[in-house]
Amino acid sequence: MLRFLLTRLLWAVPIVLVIAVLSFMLLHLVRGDPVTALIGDFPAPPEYVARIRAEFGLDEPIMTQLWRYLVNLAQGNLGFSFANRMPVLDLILSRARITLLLMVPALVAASVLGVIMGLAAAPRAGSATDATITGLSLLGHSVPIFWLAQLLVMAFAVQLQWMPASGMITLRDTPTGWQAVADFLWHLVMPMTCITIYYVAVVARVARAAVLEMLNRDFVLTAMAKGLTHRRVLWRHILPNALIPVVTVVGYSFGSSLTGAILTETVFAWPGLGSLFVSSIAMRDYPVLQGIFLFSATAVVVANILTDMVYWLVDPRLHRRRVRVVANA
Amino acid sequence: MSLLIVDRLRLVYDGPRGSTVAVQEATLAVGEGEAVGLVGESGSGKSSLARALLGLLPRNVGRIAGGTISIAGRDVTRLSRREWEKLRGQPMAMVFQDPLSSLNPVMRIGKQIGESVRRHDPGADLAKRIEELLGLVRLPAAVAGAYPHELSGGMRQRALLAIALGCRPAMLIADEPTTALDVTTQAEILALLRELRGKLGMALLLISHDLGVVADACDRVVIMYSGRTVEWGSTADTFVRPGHPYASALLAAGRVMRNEQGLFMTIEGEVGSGGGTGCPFAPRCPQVMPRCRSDMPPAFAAGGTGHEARCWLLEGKTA
Amino acid sequence: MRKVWRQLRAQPIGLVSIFIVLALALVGLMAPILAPGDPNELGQDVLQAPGPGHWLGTDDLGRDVLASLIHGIRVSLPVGILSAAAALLIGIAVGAIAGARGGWIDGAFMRLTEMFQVIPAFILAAVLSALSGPAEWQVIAVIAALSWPQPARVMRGEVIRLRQLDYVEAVRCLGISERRILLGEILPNALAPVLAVGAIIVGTAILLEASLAFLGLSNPDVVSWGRMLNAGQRYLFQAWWLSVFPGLTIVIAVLSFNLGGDALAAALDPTAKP
Repeated sequence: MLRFLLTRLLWAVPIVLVIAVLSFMLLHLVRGDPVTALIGDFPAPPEYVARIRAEFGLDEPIMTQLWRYLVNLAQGNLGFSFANRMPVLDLILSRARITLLLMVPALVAASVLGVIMGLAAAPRAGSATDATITGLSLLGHSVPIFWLAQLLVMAFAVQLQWMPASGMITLRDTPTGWQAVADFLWHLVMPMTCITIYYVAVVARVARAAVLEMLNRDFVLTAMAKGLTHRRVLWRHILPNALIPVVTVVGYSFGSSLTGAILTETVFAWPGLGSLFVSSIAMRDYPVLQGIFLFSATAVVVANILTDMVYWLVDPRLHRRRVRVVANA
Repeated sequence: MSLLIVDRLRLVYDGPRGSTVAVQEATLAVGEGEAVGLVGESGSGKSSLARALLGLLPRNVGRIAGGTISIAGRDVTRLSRREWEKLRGQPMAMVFQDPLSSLNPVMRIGKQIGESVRRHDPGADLAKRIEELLGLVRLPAAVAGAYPHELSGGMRQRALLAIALGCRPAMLIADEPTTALDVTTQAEILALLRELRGKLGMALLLISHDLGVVADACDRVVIMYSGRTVEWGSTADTFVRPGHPYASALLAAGRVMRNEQGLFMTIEGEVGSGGGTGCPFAPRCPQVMPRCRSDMPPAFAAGGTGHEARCWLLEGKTA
Repeated sequence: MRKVWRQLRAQPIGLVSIFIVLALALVGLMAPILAPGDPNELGQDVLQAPGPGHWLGTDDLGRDVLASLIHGIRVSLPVGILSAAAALLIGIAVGAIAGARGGWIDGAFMRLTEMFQVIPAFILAAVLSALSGPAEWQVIAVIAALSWPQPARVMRGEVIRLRQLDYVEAVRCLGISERRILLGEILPNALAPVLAVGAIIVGTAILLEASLAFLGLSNPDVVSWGRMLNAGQRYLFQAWWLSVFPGLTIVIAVLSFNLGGDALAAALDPTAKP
């Protein structure tokens, strides 16, 4: 296990390095003076500009600048956001937490629902139920997620007025205690539903395929030949085997779910990374944009490693590879 | 008392482009303590037959289209899924062909055996019984904690047997139990089966395309061709004096004999798709008569008690 | 060819999807005829609900929604198709080489694809557009650069699988060079699943382009579906038609490419029964 982890981490290093270099190159695409890239459009005092020039070595050759950038990164210095008056790293981390508050429940719900749908569809392959579920899955994933968000807002906030159209908490008369929790949950429902719908589609598809494959396997026959009930065969034999590909898919789609969350946030004004992203575009707060790119790519790398670990733990065929030569009596 | 009676069974698979007949007409019986072999090549329908015996035909695709199956005197031809769940395992348990894919890859062997025990032997001491069963199949107790991929092919086959035995079956159906194994392991498994039959008085229906295996392990044999049971009798009678040309050809090919021209004896042609009114072997039969193509022969005596074959050649002949 | 057609006819949904794709392309090509005039031209009737004269309504600047949708095809479809084409070209080449050569080249290939697939495409494209201004070729380049691993993997898998088949062995025994085998025997048979992946990439590209435009990261002078949704966001409470129709169009386009691609791949599959 440790060896496995070490190998994966080792491979992650060059990848993160490439991401960092790419991120560095991004900033140099900004038109005009590189100082603009670092400070944005804000009127900054000349001493600060001079300091920036020196700190980032803007007059020095590119390779030196790259080196400085990487060194800064290693120390956790991603720059400073003038618009938000915070170091970029702190800013991103605080907003990321809020995005995760949205993403994690949504992904969990999507996984559970998706597996249920897959379990329902696969044994009835070819039937109307199956066609419906497959169709809905395809539809769910062909829809622009922000349009889905818009539809939800229009339906539930405008027409029916059941849900708040935006924000994470009610700003007027901010509630406290349990009411605060309830208020938060009430605001959470719609953006979470949006993300869940989108990802149920992915999970359901994989779950259905996995369960379908399991149904044709001989070990299911063996289990049934023992006289086990259909339910037991499903839950104790088919599901554990089918979950393996599902877990890996959910883990590997973390990157795209981050993108989805960002887009959803813009419709719902959910104050996470997505809203930060959009506002930074408007305010030309380039270090933040660069930071978000770096952060999200790295987050995907981490998610992949975690997924690999979970996969390794869950599938016994991977971690007991030494064929124990158990002697014949 | 007959544990299993199959009478003129007909099995059909329904597909999007029409139905295929997997078994045209099969008749066989297995009595208590008996060992019966079911022989046939691929396409003969023997595996479909085996699955039907435990109600394991693929649900919306395979169905019984005629005939009956009786288990311990009870007609099970039209049982519901729930009723089948109650019936499986006892009195009949089944072991499948490929030991690797027949075991749940993410569940330990002990647990898989435990499931049989808990289902059919509710009061038993689980750990003790599992150990007992592993001992019966000559596997060390440590296997209980292992996963299927950690065992060799022969050991997996034994584990499958242990799982089946956990049901305390009066009869075991073994579908090609030795096909996936090498010759030495084959012999071991057959020896084990013999031992188990002796100890437990268990009946056996052994399905195989390998005549040697059947000859070794079974008292009686039933031969299938293209969805029909065409000859049956004691192993001795049938193999020494086969009544049906297909059986003779199988035996000859199996013995790797050469004919007068010095060529290996094979059976020309391929298994047909069944259907039609005549004998299905007619297109390949070296002794075919015009009548064979139009009329399916009934069973005629072929020498020896209980030895019969469905061939016009036997008409009018006495043993 | 006839067999392909027959296969296609057996999948009505797929066939309809392919027709829709072709119809969209046709409409897009004929946009100047079907929806004459400059789509950007500001009209009189502002924020009109759908009705006679403006079947799908108008936006806040008086532009007819239907006309805008038609002109929007000329943005979304080329971006989608060009991105997928580029990704396919790169992917097929790299995948074929990796699958054919094996060894360390294959190992390097797998590592490389991992590297590319880790980067979130949308965020990269968005940051690029924000930093250096919106540009279509940029979007196409980003999608191609980050999506080629998908067809590459499929191609590699197919090449590995097909190389081992007996009939390929037979051709090899005739003395035909490895390269000609690759091009002549393996590639045509590997195309079907790769095409299906290509269709999916078109869908992803269309969605990505729309997402960028939605955030305001596309050329503001060009009418596109995503841009329309951006406007729709502002009038969510008043003008539902500004959001519903462009979104619906996107869904139809993406779905049609996906389903059509699947159907085409299944039809081209040489192992399918006639």
